[in-house]
Amino acid sequence: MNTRLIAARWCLPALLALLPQLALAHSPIEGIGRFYGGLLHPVLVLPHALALLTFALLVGQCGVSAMRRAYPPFLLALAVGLTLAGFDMTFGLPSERLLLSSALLCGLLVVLQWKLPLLAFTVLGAILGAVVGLDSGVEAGLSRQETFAALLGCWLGATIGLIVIAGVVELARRPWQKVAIRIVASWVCASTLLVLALALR
Amino acid sequence: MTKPVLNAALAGTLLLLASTAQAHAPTDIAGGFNSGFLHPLFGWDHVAAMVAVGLWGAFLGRPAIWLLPVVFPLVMAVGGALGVAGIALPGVEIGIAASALVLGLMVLLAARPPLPVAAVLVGVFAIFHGHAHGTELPHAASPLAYSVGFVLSTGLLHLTGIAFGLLTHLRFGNTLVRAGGAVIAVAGAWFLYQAL
Repeated sequence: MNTRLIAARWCLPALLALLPQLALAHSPIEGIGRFYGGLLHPVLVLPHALALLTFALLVGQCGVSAMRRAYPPFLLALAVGLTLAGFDMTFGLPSERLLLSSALLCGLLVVLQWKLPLLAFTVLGAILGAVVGLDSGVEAGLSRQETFAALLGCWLGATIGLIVIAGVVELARRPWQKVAIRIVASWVCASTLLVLALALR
Repeated sequence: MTKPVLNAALAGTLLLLASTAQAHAPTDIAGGFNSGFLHPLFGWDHVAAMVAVGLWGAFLGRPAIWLLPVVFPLVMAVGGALGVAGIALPGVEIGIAASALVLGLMVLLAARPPLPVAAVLVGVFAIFHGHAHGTELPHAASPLAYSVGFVLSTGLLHLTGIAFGLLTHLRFGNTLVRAGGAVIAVAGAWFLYQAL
């Protein structure tokens, strides 16, 4: 047997060893699974993340009374919206524009430190929950179990994100911490304003 | 395994190793964020002006030092919206270069004008910077990720300037920060010369 043939026999398994790649299941992040894909959905979809972030900043900045008014309608509307999205009923909403407008409005309110009437938190929470839910539908062809896992993950992800961020903001009492919150809100406002200008041109 | 079969197997395996050709920038959210984040960092005129804003804030003291990073992105976004809308702004490059020169001089001279004057001056320059970023936005892979990236990058440059500006509390910090202003002003003069 000549040496080239021997070398080729060694090369072939080595090259074949380079071929395997990550195992990919069906999920927004490949391989992560439906539940965790849903859990991360509010964080990974930028319009959702920005809208939730500024709403959480606003609620946290206004304190516990705002939380009491904002959480129940948000959680309920989110559940209803996700359920409707699960049945593929999205009503053709311009979700991205609505979410970015919400992010811009809430961000400006945080920057200006305006104290809203408590009813406004109920209304904002209900609208934001419904839009996020309706815009978080799953793709067609999933089993009932996979759909439920994805929607439940999404509901939990948005809920945890809102409550944790608002809680951290509510605990921020020092002047520099309050300024940092307003800086973050202004950055979100600037980003959303530009994209809204692009969408509306 | 015979030699021809082995050769064919090797060639086939090598073909399977080929992946997608990527001659251009990534076109997903990460690509949009990366290009937006790097856009202000790779333009020295932007970097100089943003850092100068932070440095100047240190001389202006409170509340300007914290007000500028809040107001600047918002005004910059208005300029960006003009750029996105295709509304031409005369002398954008000159305005950006002049911002580095003027803000550098403000730091060098440790100027302390009234807060509204400083805010208007910085705001006018912010519109030029925003317009330059905004005209790039429609071509971005993911416009939202691009804008988040460049706003974040701009904000971090401000914070860098503020952090450096806080050296004024130290013994030789004042001189050091004013020297930084001088460097920025010289760079600004060079940018202005090139722009003209």
